[in-house]
Amino acid sequence: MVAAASLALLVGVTLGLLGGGGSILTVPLFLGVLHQPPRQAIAWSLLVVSATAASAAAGHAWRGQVQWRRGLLFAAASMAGAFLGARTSRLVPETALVVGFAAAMLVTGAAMIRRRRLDGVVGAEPASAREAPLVRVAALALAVGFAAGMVGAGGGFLIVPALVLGAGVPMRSAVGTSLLVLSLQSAAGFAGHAGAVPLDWAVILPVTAASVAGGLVGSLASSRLPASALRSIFGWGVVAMAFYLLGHQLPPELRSGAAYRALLVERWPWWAGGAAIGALVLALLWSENKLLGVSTGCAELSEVPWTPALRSSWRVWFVGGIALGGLWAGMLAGGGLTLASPWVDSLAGAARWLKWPLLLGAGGLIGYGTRQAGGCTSGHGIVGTAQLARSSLLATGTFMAAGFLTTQLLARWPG
Amino acid sequence: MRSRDVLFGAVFGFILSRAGATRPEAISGMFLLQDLHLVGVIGVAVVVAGAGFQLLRRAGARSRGGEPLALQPKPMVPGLVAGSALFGVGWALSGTCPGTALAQIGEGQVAGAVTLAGILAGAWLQARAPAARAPRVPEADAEVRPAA
Repeated sequence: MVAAASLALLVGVTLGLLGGGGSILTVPLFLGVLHQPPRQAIAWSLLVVSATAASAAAGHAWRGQVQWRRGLLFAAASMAGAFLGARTSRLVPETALVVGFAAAMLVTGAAMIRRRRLDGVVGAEPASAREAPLVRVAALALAVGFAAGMVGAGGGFLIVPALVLGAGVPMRSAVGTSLLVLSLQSAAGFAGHAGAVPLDWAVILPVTAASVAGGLVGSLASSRLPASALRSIFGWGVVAMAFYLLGHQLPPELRSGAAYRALLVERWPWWAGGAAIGALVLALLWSENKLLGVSTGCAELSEVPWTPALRSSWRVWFVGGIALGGLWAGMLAGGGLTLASPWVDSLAGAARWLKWPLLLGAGGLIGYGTRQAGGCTSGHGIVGTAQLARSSLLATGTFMAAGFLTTQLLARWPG
Repeated sequence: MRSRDVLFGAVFGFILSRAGATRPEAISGMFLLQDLHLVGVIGVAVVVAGAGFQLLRRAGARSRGGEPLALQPKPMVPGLVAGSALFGVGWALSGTCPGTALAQIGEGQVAGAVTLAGILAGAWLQARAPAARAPRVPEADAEVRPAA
């Protein structure tokens, strides 16, 4: 429950920050972390999102970042759509629902990423300042509402693009307006599901409380980050979550096939893994003219909050990509959230709480050491060594020796 | 082009995960000499990349964008050995390095997130340490950036 609540807090931050990504994240939270059946997960998500969006929208309204007229019209039309969608969802198999949902997420994610690129060319906000006819807003809203109610998504990930692209609302106001729409729309979607699913308040209440708190924080943060960065994060986050959901819908026959297991479940043989990394180093050099390295990117990431220029550094995006790749691998292999790791658990021994400070401290040594040395396993160990650079050979020899000695000492530690 | 950077990162993270490098036991197993899988992975990666570098250099190859290849050894800096030793200790303790910690987060290993928090804090501190004489952004970056 503690893990679920901290994740709910993050969900709230995302929702308040981006004006979307509520149900996208709460559905997997209820499904994957709290192990609720799909229909329940979808209905409860609507409730959580409704409460969180309402409080975050209040935060945006305080700063004048809500377009009330369009928002209310959008909400009214999409609520009708959402109610119809929720009713229709009972006629459609659950797998089809989730696959449809994931497909919508992929398209939206790509659209958001592409939009950011357009911004770079055109300027901060596009020329679509002409006010869209209210009929068009209503029609868009009806369609968005139907899709959202059908899959149980509040649909913020559809509302923000619809408001920006379809109705010419500036990004920042789109977030606030989307939150207003979301809170009303999710409430309507929930009404459509209510009575058809049981409600377990012992689970729902803590998740909602954490999410609402996060929503207020996110709402505050969204007025401080540049819109283009918000959109990129939004786009890639949506793409990642779509893959995650799709992975959970893979048929079990496919998952147990020999080829699937060898490629995506069992660990690759050492020569295959090594060859793949080597090939990637060469591909990155040839295609992008960049040398693979992770610790420099981590250092840049640690400076991003204070150094806005670093937001456009390729390393920061590359480093984010590594986490996305881990997500793909984990979801195709069928993994979930894990707190255990036998090696570190064995180090902490009986004092299990010790594990986290231990990891934090070890991370500190890694971060400090790699920056002082100018590289880690990738930059020095692989790319530097492959160039037979003296600095890298020395660094690699040293961290290998230090790692060996440390592990051997720990293994011999009495008790 | 940020999308391509994210994609390259994602492929790297995917390979790290599939190659089994994200399991802390792979690192402890390597240093206990019980499971040399990771030695093989790193070794083959070095050989493949090294052979490729040699071939590209001999052929006088240019990058896809037509620039001379940005191959450049990292500079020999004063704190290199001490820093690498610190890294080695942290690597052995946590069973992860910066790249695998990131991939672990994607896989859903909570330990990866905690380790990364430490890594970011450590890197941040190092940049502000009075003894930090090592350049924070290697020269290779300055040369590459205009092309990005």
